[in-house]
Amino acid sequence: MPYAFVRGRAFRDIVIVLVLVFGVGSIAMLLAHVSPLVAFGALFDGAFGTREEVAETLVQATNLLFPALGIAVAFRAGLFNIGAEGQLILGGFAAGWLGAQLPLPWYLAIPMVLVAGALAGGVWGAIPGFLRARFGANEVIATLMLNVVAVLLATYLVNGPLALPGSGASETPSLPHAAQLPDLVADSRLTWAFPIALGLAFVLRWMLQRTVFGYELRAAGDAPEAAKRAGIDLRRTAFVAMALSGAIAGLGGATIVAGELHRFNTGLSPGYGFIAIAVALVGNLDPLWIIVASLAFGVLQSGGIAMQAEAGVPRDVVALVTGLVIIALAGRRVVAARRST
Amino acid sequence: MRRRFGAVQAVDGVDLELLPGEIHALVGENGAGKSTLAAIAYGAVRADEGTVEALGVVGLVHQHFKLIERLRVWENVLLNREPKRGWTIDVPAARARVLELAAKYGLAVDPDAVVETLPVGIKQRVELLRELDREPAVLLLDEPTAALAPSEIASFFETVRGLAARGTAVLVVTHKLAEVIAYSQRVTVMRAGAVVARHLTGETNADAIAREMVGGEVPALATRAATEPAVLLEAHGLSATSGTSALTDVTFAVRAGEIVGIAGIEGNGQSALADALAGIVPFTGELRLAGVVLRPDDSPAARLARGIRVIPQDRRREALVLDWDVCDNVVLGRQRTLPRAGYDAAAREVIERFDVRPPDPGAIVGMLSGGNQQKVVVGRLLSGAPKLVVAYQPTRGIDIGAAALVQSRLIEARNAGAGVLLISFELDEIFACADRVLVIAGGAFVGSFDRAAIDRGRIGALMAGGRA
Amino acid sequence: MFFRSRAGFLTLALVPLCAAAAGCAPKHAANGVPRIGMVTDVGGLGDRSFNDSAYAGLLRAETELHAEGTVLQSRSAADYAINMTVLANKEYDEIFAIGFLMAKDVADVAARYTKRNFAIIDAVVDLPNVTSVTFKEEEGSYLAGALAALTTKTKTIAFLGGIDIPLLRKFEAGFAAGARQIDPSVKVLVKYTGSFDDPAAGKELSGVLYDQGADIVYVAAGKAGLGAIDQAKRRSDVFIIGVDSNQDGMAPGKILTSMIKRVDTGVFRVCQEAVAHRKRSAHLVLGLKEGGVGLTDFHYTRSVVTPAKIAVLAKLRTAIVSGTIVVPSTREGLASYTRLPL
Repeated sequence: MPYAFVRGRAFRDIVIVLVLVFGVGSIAMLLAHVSPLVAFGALFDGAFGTREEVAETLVQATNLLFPALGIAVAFRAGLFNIGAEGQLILGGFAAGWLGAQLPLPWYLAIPMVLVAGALAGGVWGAIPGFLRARFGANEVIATLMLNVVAVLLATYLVNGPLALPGSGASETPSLPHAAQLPDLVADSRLTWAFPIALGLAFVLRWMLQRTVFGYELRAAGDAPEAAKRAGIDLRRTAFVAMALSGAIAGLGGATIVAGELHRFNTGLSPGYGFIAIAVALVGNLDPLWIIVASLAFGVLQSGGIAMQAEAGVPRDVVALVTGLVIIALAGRRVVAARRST
Repeated sequence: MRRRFGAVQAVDGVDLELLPGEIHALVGENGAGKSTLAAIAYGAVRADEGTVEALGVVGLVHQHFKLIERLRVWENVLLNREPKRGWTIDVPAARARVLELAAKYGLAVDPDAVVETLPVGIKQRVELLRELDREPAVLLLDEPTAALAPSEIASFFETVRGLAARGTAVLVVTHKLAEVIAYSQRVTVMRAGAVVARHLTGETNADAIAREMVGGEVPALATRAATEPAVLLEAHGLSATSGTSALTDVTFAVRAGEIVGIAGIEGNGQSALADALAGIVPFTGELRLAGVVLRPDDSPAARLARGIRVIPQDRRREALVLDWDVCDNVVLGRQRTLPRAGYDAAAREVIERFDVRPPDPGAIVGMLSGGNQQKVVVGRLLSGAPKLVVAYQPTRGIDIGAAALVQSRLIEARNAGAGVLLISFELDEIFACADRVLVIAGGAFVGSFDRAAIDRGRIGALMAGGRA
Repeated sequence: MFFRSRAGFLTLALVPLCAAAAGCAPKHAANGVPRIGMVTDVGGLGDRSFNDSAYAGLLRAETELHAEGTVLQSRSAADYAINMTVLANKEYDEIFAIGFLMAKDVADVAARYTKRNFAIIDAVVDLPNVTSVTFKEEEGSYLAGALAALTTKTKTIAFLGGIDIPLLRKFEAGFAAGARQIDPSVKVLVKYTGSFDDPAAGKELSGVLYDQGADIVYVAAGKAGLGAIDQAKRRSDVFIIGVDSNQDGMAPGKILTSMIKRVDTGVFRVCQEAVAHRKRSAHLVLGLKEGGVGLTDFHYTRSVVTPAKIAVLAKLRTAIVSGTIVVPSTREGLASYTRLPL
């Protein structure tokens, strides 16, 4: 009976998402004077048509999976971290900046680049975590604001003190080959970031369900008052959860830099940190289901561009649908959370 | 006039008729279906089958007041029925109407007072006035005295009698049998959604009704063994604030092997006392446990580590993770000390000792009945060997069987040498369990009685004395 | 705003079904129509400058070469590589990257998709499957500098660039050299806004330059140029020289001329090679000679740009095309540049 309850909720979410994607998507396509059949055909063909396209879909899924896992950790602790975008960008910056100047063999360079990204993202997540723990500051507003600060900070650093002489782009120098994540599939941008993300999802699932820290984190999120009275330190949990959440998103930024772009660019994310909110919610905040959700959204991301190219439907349709999914699922959760406190 | 209530959704076809001018008590345990029946009669819940007939308007006063706290009394009383002048509300007329209504029924209120500033008893008057303004032929009162002091209860029923004398049919939904015997003419007993007995009140007694409610003998409490009390908890000049609840400069002691009952009406500092002991809010003054001074700003974890266990008042919010299963809830608070492999055994131990149903560690707690939820909470907090147990309304809203079990386990903890502070709004519970009674009113202790010297009348008067 | 391909929708509707069934079907347009993809930079279509000019070249290829064009606009730098990858996966015959900002992404994607052909505007990427298209901006700027020196009354003119990078220094050096050719006593002020997308900075800095005595400002700073044009509109007796596209009409009479960079020509030339399956150029360099750069026809400023001045410009142009004048493209080159007696 309890499982039917939980599954029923997840099932309803999936129905909501399908209705939004196909229903609202179709309406938008009709407004663009394109048959939804053609447009969705182009979308799925763009996502699955060839081996390389499947690989690109997995690339997009990977880029969403990291921040979505980070978001899930925070959300499970009852913290609405919507700052994954900024955490990802700063993680990418740290990775790019450090990676570009490491004359090290790959087995040292790659781990250092990834750790640098995780640390930077972790610090960026820990700031709102600290503000929340120390002053009770609302983490939604803090993380939202820090997104903007992250972009501005990174832009200032790469254009100012760390500017490359002679380049007009807001970016760091290229990473040496040793610091780049190796490709997984030839002729594609799919790198080892994908298996790393998958492994991380399993580790997080284990952490949440099987460790004392995961237990306390879930208790703090599911019933903060009861957790507090049971001796769980809500402040510490909030701080650690936010730092961990940011670190995971930052790691994602590092893999984009080390795997795909091979340099940091201030525009390295087309909004992964925001789309990932929808991914985390559709995945019911369960790391394993988030893998599935990230694949679904990866299809929308990579297929959406192909849809624009091949069927002439602006890929804003995908952004529209993603936004609606966030409103539908996050709105419900926020309401539920407000009600319980 | 005859009003007929037909069959009911909270199970089997219930027939109930109310006569004009009578006070009819509807009693039963939590979950027996009384509140559902009242809601159906009012029209808030639709019956799957059956009909409700009423000659005239039906009014309902809720157990939890449905008032808009930020609005004034007249605004609440006349909500949606405001006298209008064009597009605006005719405020003088509204005020006059409320005053007239208050005078008519002898329920004095200040029409311009903001509801949130009023004490509970007055709020209830406002709630009642709101319904009376509709001139109901039938008035349903759902647990109307839950938040009232003994003296307020008496005056409340005087008002109700006056209403009945004007021909209104009154249905009082309650679990307080003393009130049933004292004020009603007829009584209907429900169990598991069905009517199990109907009496003229004069022809029955409280014990008989209790047996009918439970469906058998009322379970006996554990016997209290002789203990050798030694001072366990000492409080000197203790003050604390938790939300709107304040405790001011109280001095008391709890001995090992004794249950100290804190008798009082809700909102007189009980929450501040419980929260200060739990480490939720800091205190000023001095607190010693077994001679060791407690730091005023200890965390809940530190208090737990010292052997202080607080059974919170609101189990759903303050004690349980409703989405989790019994096993994980039993572990809560011990997750750092208990090895993972021991979770299941710990859960089974609580399930067995406390007769949790279903006896399944994997059952989701939110799906359990209130009584079984409370068994999980108390089971968790009494495991190990707690030194001091603070039980805050430990049997609130649970069935008699579960309540007896919880009370018995508290007595057993006392017998085993724990000190127990039993904070309850139910005098019967305190009289049944406590070795000593402290009366709390206005955030201070205003009386102390040993078990042998308990005087219900005096305690009731002291409880009410602290009220504004 | 979006631009759609012209393939039959039915074909496209059926292809994914076949693809799904057969695993992989060729999706190259069956009728042999060459497909050309274009990825804009974040400026996007509608910039009335660089990207629009490239798009004009693509449209020309559609009509004259019967090609089929698709444009993917980029919202962020992350989109560059993603968009190119999608086009590469869709087996486009030629994939254009519009702008030097995409150089690294082109190098990356082209290295992975060795069977696809790429082209980049304004940067050099040294890979066998990449055609680099660059312009001799210094040559067009040289003419602009000469015209400014012929026109100034305050003996002071100015260059306002976007970001101080080698590409922009080509504009700067050519402009200053052209002015020196006409009159070495003309002072050339130089400033950079630090970005290509800040009209406010363009407005402010052009104001500073005018206040310092310059009466003609040559602006090569992307959207910042819009601010400079706005500034010029508020003053009398001053001019702006526009860049990239023909901007003369944006403030008639205020814009002396525009140094046009024929990105459209560059795009079209590459398309020609792609369609003809000729041997592809590794590097197309388009200067005055190739019609890659030049000035406008002074439609709104005939009263100032007299036939005598036009004759001087024509003479200089001939000298550059013939190689008599070698226009410097760096500050070092400018330092050693001396005027030639003509």
